[in-house]
Amino acid sequence: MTSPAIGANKLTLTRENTTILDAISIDIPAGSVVGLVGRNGAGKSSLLRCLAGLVEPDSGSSSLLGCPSLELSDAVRARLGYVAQAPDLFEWMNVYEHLCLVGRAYPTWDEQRCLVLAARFELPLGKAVRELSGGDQQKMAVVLALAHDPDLLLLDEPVSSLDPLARQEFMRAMFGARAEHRERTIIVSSHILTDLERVVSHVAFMRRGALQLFDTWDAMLEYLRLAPVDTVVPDKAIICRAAGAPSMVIDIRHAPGAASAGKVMTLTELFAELNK
Amino acid sequence: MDFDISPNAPTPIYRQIVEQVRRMVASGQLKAGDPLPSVRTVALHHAINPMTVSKAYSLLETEQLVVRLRGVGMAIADAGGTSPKRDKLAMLRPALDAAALTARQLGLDDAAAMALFQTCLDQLPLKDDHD
Amino acid sequence: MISLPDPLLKHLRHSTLLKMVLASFLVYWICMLPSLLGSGTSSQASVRVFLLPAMATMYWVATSMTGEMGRMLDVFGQLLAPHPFRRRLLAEKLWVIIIAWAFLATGVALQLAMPESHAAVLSGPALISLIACLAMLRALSGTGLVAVPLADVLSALPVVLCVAVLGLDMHRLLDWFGALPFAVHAACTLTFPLLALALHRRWGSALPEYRWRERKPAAGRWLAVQARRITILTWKKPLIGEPEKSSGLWLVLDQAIMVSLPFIFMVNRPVWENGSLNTDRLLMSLMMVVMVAGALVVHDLHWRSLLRPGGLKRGRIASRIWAATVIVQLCVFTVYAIALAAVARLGLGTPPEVIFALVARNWTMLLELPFITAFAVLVRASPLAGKWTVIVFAGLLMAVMMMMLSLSPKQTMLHVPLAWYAGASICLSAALVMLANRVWTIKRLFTEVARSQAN
Repeated sequence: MTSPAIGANKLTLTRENTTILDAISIDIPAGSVVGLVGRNGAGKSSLLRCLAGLVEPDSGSSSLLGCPSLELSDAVRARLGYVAQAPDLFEWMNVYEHLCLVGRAYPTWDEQRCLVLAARFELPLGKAVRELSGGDQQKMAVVLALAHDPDLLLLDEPVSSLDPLARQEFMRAMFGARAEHRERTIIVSSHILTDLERVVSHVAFMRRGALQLFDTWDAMLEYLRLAPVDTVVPDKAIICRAAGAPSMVIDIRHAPGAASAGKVMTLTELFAELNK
Repeated sequence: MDFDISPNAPTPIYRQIVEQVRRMVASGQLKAGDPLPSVRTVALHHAINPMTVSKAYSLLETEQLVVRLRGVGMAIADAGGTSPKRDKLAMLRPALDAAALTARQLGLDDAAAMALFQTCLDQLPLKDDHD
Repeated sequence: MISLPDPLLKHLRHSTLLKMVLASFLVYWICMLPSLLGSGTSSQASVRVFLLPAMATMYWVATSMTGEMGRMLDVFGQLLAPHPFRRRLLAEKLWVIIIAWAFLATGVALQLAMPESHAAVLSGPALISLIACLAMLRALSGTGLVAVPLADVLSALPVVLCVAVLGLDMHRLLDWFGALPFAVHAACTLTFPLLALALHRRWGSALPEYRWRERKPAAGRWLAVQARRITILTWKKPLIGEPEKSSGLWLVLDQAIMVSLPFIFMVNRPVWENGSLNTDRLLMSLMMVVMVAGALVVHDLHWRSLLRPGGLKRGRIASRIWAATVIVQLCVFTVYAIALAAVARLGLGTPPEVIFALVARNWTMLLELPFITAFAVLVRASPLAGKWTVIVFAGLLMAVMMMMLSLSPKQTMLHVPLAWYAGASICLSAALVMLANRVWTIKRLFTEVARSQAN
């Protein structure tokens, strides 16, 4: 079995007596698009930062493309794209200078392609970065991450400030023209679940620093159902049941008889159930 | 031709594509030889994951509803999916061979294995919507 | 066509710097007059001294005004402003140059007309005209307003002028020029008016069409960008508060000062010279460590460096700090040496070779800088490097140094061959850097940055 593109093993992070990450273990296969979903404060940003090697976890380890996160080699860094929650750019430069400055560090960066990408996102090349609107700055962060055609993308709420058309453009850009054999692995943290539903292959639910659920989205659609609480099912089938709630999430692979009693959920509904 | 995809519906996107193609073939909207739009075109148009479209097309190819033509891409197969029964049985054979081997290895007797297969067949209409 | 100087005065009203410079010339003249009425060779020198600043001013005015013409045409061309409006703006700028030229040329001519000067009267205005003409042509070639022949040659003009001023003996050059026949002077004097007239004619009839062109970034932009990419880890806030807001040039100056401040005490005597090591100077160098630790340079200090190929790596932070600091130090000192040579040349007339020989005498600094910086990087990394430890360390060293100063220099010299000294410096530097690599962590790095911005 090929090693996973992104792997984490019991990642733990605590700050000031609060558990930010609680022994998270996850293996993300190459070529998948993972939606990282959770409420604010669930630890999504921290997980992404630990995976990228920006923060040292208190215990546990993680790796990207086979390389430990804290010691990413130049080869792995060249294939990695990261978008942080706050754009955090060099404000005094203009857009073109900034794109070139960052791009030159990457062997696979191509100025032409980068400018085409910037044009698709309608970025004004001559403007100083500090004069860009919040949405434009976020778009710039996305272009910076995509410009060198990375094999691995870690995206932390990359579209929170973008209008719907820009978001569609972003989703198209995520799957840009690539050679047949080269897969792009993407992990996206976002609150815009309707957008995620269109593009994800896997979904990871986080709650209070722990990984609640991680599976392919198609499997979740096929096997997870929202059933009334009084439905009789073996314990193994219950994924999530909140105390006092009228319904629960069941897995019909373990309770085939209850399949008709439950209804299929959208990502938004599943998210709501898992966070009750 | 364009697919009508609702990304937020309970049905997986790949399933929606597969069923639309099936419906269009059955109703005659798509005839033998009509090309399907490329994976990239569909993915870009609807802003969805190309792998999803790819999966749908592969499924259709397995069902022999579409074939991959060199230079053209995916196109509707001849005889619109009504391939002779013996060909379909031939496609089922490998899966049954594997199941038979597993049953033998587990030491199950034939009757129990056949009953199980029947149960599986009975359960199928649950996952498949109206055909 | 060109309107009367009324809009010119309005422009002058805005350009206060220009007014200040011209006014200072006026004052200078007025002060000079009484001394000129007396005779003596000193007046010859004073005339000469006036000539160079006048030429420099002319160059500056011509270049900046022409640059503004180009910029204005771009801005208003893009806005599709009406032609008479654009013409009027161009004319305004042109008038400023003309007025400056007339002013300076007359002033210089008057000076040279004084009985004490030996040069021909017209040689001054000739030079001013030439400079104005060349500067304008060079600036025009960069704006695209007019196709200028030999544009590439002209773009080297400022470099040539600088080298000429520093390298050649200006007095003899000016003498030679002043002795040229009258016709040459007259021809040179006419170059600028002719150019102005030609431009006026050409733009009066048809303004160049606005065409989008590839604009080269302003000279100095590269430097300004580099200056901003550098963070200096100071003990407290640097002189300029917020790098993002200040203009490029000031930032560069500020960074240069911060980096070179620790070395202000380096005296003429190098640490090692001709086989003997001056221990008191060595101790002073060690004291520098503490100060350099307060001026370490980090390049591209940003979390993005952690993700960029070739960026920060956890086990190599100290090496990066060390390399960046040493490079910046070397650049700053090179610039200092050149500036010193320029000032000595212009002010005192010392040929540059003397200055460079002086600088070359201190070549051992090439070995010292890496060593001191390596030590400083290590000192900064250890958690004990609070202000108090530093002060104690500095105090101890100063005490020892004063003790050594009370002994004569001969008594403090040790005999150390070059190979030993060089070898020891290099090995020690390498060892200190490797040690520091183990001690520095990302956390410490960002803490130090926070400290340098918060205090």
